[in-house]
Amino acid sequence: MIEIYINGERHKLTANITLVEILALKQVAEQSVAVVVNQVIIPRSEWPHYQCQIGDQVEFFSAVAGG
Amino acid sequence: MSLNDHQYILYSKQMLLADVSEQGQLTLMKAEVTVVGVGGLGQLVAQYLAASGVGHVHLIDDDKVALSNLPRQLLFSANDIEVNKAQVAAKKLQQRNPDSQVSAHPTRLTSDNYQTLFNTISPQVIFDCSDNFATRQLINRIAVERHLPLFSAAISGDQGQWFAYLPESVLTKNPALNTKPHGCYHCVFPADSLLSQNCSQMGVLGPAVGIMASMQALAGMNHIIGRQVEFGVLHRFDAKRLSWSKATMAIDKHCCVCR
Ligand SMILES: [Zn+2]
Repeated sequence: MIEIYINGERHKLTANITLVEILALKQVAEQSVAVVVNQVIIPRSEWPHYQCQIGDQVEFFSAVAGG
Repeated sequence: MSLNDHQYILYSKQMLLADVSEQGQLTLMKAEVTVVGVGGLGQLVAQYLAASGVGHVHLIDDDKVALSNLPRQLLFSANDIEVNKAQVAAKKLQQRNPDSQVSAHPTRLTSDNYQTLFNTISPQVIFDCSDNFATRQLINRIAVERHLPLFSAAISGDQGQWFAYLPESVLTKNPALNTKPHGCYHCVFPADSLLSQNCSQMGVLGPAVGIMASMQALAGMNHIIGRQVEFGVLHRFDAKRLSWSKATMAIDKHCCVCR
């Protein structure tokens, strides 16, 4: 198990968990968010093989388009 | 081109900034820019640009002023309701500062008409002040295709986002800009992204829109006058807590727009 932070909350998750698996765990639709890991936005095409490391700060947020 | 006595006084506060000076002011006065969307964001961006003496400001919007715009779109008044926003804004800004040429393009920017429109104008930067995701994707594409630095802001509810994007074609030609390649809007939000809310149904407070518009206008002006701008960073603003966060826009190697 490794400890990572998801939107500021501490989680204990299996080692090598991917971003796609984290979104599934949190029941977040992939097309509805951008994912930030340690202040870098990770492109959606990389999520299936992007494995989280101990202490990673993972955040997701949606696009806003109003003006 | 040199400044007359009136202009020296008019723009004195800008020129008092040591790295702006008369040279920076003249650079602004030679600049040509495009603002897409003249709603909450665009009407303020346009005011700052025209008032600061930017040489030519193009305003693109097919929308008309509505009563519910007035609490935050302060350029407009009740007399302007039902009139095209680009035309109202161009007329008022032109009157306020004849140094800036303000052109209205009262049309909706679409994938069908953008080539024709951009063949008739030659902006050096583009401001995305639009109010929907499809137009934002299109503007991002235009920035890449036409080699235009993009200054983009958006807000819905209490969530604001802004970023500056420099196409790779521009940064490789301009090493002085000291910018590394970074992701475009589509790298962050692919075209099939789902938005959490329908913008037209979201509320918003005037000053929150003003903050986002001010950031994009300031970033754009800084770039035009030759100041270092941090491109490729998405800034998020929480208008309730008044807090900011930021994240680097990484390149999507499979991006169909910028790769
Ligand atoms: Zn891209």
